Amino acid sequence: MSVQEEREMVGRVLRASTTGFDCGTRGSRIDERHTFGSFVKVPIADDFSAFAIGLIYAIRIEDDPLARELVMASIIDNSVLLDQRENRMVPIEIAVINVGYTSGADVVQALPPRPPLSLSEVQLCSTDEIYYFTRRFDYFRVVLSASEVPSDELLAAAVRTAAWAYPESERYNFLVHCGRQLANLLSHDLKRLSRVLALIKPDTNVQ
Amino acid sequence: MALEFNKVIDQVQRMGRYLGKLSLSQSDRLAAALERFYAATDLDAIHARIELVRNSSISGYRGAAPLPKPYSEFICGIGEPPPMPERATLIAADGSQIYPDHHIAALYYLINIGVYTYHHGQPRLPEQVTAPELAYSDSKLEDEDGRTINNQTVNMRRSVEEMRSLARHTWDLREEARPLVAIHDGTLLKFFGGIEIAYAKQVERDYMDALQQLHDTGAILCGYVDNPRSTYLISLLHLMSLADDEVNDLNLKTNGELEGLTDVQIFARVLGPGQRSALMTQNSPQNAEYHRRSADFEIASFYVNVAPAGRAAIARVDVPLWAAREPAAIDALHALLLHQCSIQGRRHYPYALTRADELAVVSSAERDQLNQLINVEMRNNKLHPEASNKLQTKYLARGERRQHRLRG
Repeated sequence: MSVQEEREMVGRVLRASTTGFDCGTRGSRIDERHTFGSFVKVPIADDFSAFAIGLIYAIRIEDDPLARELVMASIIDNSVLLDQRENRMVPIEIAVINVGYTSGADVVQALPPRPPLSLSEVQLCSTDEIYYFTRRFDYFRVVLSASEVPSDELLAAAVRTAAWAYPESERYNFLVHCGRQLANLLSHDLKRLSRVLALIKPDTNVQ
Repeated sequence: MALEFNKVIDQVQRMGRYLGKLSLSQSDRLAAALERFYAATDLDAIHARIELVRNSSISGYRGAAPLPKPYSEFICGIGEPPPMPERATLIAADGSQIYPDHHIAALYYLINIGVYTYHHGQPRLPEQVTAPELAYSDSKLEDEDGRTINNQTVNMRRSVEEMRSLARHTWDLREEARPLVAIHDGTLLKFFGGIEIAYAKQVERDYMDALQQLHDTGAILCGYVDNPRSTYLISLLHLMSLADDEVNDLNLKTNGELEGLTDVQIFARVLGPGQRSALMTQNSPQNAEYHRRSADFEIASFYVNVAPAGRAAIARVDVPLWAAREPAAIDALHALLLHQCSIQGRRHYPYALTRADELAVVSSAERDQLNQLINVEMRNNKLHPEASNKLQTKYLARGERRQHRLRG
């Protein structure tokens, strides 16, 4: 694996279905790659011709009885802290909801045809991939109708993440388009719409 | 249903009442033992009595003895928590095993050793190593008479492997920060003489070689015994209560009025948080054998209350005489063990040993996976692995139940 790929790797698939998957990584490796609302991709074909595209909607840090006892100690010294984070294999689980897939050059905003296999590498989408994926808004419906995820916060986080993939000159228009799309989808629930719009409202200097 | 709790609950209640009564009758004996303990201030008299049992036809005394002069400490003396060394290197080793099982496809045993190194006072990542060893050849699986070795032999080989790994790693780390402390899980006094141990002489030689290597590193070796059941001090208090003409094997078969008490019961009352007892040796044929090999190898021990406050948590710490003779080494060990036992919050046990155990332990799921791997390799070699009928039917009966469902 190249240094670049290592840097972009979020984790490896633990369990999966067509609606989403959980991936795991070591506790010591958590960083800005593991961010709520990030776009990730994972291969769903052996020849890497197709990828499922998903959004990180939960990051869970597992515990164990030893970690619980250490928390009870008055002081945790540095060696123990390093030992727990680097040596002990307490995994971090990252939950992802699928919002689309790519097949060759095609981008489809619907559930992927098959889930990724166990231990497949999950990677962050590049700026270009986010840019091309978010030029359409069909994935909004998938997120808003998912019952097991905090959909309003997740969609807002995804839109904010996606906005940074756009050149500064297009960013404001992108956010306005997202707002219009949300207004269509949530016209029956004005309270909810107002909350999501507040979450994605662009700063006045983003124009 | 394996255990019908409605049939056992009465027995559990009776057991509780029995233990309650036992504790009540022990409190009088404990008071007598404490009185004798605080009165045991005459070291010369104790030395004289130990000489009597060692240099006569009496062979049944298995109690404590003071360290040889000039290293003796008052039996009722108490050591306060010493200052903590700024830096130290602690190496802990532990092991686990899979016993030979005639009911699976192939006969083998496995010993897995975990070694953990903790750099005290240095913000360094601790090191961890595991060393699994699979034994499957006849020479490893059979005793001198061609019979399959028993579980005691596997246990003893595991203990020796723990000590050898500890010695090897300590030797490799001899340039690291001092004091260098090697922690073994359990007593350092092993009994190699049992007829049930296969090739006992070789096992003993390997153990003694490991002790020699540890000695050569200048490390402070200790065996940490949590919640010990030993009665060394109780036996000494009983011995001291006898008149000279009463000192014979018959009277030493039991601890007389103090029978049933353990050393922990005394030290739980005597030792405050962080305090340790006097260093003592155990008078036993095993220890005499260790001494015969080298005076440095004789095993001494002290008790320590590793709880920082409140209810006492007593552990016994075995040390060879090469360390016991050095007050600075004992102080460093005492302080470092207190620190180790404070790391895990409410659980007062050395952190390094907890981690070594975690590294070593082989879970039942891992054992099953290993058996699967062995089965695959047997098939690759044109063999037909098959578990015994007993084992297969056991898994059938214990298997998960499934619900019947109508399919639409």
